[in-house]
Amino acid sequence: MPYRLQTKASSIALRAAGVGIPGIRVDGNDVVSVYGAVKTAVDLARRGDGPTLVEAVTYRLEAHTTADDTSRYRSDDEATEWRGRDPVESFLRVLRDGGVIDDSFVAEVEAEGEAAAARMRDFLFDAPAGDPREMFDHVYAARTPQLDIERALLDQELRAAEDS
Amino acid sequence: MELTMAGALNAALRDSMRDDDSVVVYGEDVGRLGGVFRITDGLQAEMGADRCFDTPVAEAGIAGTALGMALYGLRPVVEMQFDGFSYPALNQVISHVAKYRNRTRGRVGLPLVIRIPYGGGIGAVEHHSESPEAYYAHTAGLTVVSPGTPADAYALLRASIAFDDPVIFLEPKRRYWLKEDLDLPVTAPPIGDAIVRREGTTATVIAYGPMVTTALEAATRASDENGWDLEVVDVRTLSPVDMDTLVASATKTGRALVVHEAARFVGYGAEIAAELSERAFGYLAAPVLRVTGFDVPYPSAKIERHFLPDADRVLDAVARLLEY
Repeated sequence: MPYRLQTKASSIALRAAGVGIPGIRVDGNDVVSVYGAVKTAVDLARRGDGPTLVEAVTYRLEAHTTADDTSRYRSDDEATEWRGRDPVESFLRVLRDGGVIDDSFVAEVEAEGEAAAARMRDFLFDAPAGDPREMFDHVYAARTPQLDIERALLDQELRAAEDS
Repeated sequence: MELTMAGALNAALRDSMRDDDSVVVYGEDVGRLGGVFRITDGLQAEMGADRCFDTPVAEAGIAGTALGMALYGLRPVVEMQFDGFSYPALNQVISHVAKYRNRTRGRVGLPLVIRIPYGGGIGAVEHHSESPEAYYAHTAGLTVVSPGTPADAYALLRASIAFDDPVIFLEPKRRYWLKEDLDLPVTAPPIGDAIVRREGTTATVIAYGPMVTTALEAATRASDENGWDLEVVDVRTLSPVDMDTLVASATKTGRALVVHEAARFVGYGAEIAAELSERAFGYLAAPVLRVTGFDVPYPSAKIERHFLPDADRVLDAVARLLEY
């Protein structure tokens, strides 16, 4: 749901006042602004001057999950408008225009990014489901007698399934 | 016509809103989106955004405002998007919603319904597969209902909305797509009545919500594979429980087990087993057994099938009842 349905307050950063800490609202799609705000916050924290609430205003371009249908609650125009404000694209322009990076650097980083994403996908697709008996092992620092009994029951079931 | 449980719930909300202007429906994403499970689909378009609307992601606020609206004379029906999201609202529910009738010496009841899709089996992530029924059933002042069939989903939700005290309405989300041939408005026994879904003589299987289907599947298999004739009792209303129907069944068959997804320790089945022991002890040929989830946080989707009770585990327990 859009921000205006979540709160009547003009800013989430304003809430910081209620707990006596600074609040900063920035354009979350502007890399330099976000850096400045977070740097201010981190410097304060490192000095021991407490936390800061940073509100970085942005937009979820993709669907919430693979089961989500964004057409039920937002227009294509809205998403298209925000896509035009993609922080990666706009910061790339700034860096290119300033002569900080060139096309070959961008191509190299993009290839690295694609490779990293592919590695992550493969890793996750290939990841084993894990031993179901592990569900009993980390509930407490030490497994309780009750969990020992339940683990034994599942173990028996799994062994029977292997044998059949 | 053939309806899914999700469709039956949607129809129940729509029919209740049409019949009674004081019924309002709200929660996270229930308006424009129609709810993540589409249970409120089309209600905002038909009834208007005054009667079906979206709220901030703030469950305590949803429960607290429902209390206020009920005091004001409305009949709010609110949705907690998932079982695991209902916990931030527990303070409102336990400390205020549940106590209001008693606090006012019976003068002020709260006709509100809190709908919660609950239970696992849909391959979801953490906080999306919990079975919180014991927390609610343990809280005096709350009426706790959980349908196991599309017909009951319709009839019990309509009855809950018409009910003059707060109802926690637990929807078995893995059964949202369960289908049944229904002629609306379907009627069913009232809140507070359990139903014998299948008559039998060998043993009684007591279930509710998502496990009703599992219990009936076990009964069919028991008949086909073992020649056992299981009786299946659907609790329907967890609190107040229809203990007479459960005692009558256990007394008749002489053997009983309770099945639920929720953890075993201090779970709903423990209460049923204790009551059956007190009231039917002399008729029982074996101790009442529990077939439940394990006493662990709900596990990840890839291994949830090892957590969830299934027909095999029910049949194993029946075998133990018979061997005792």
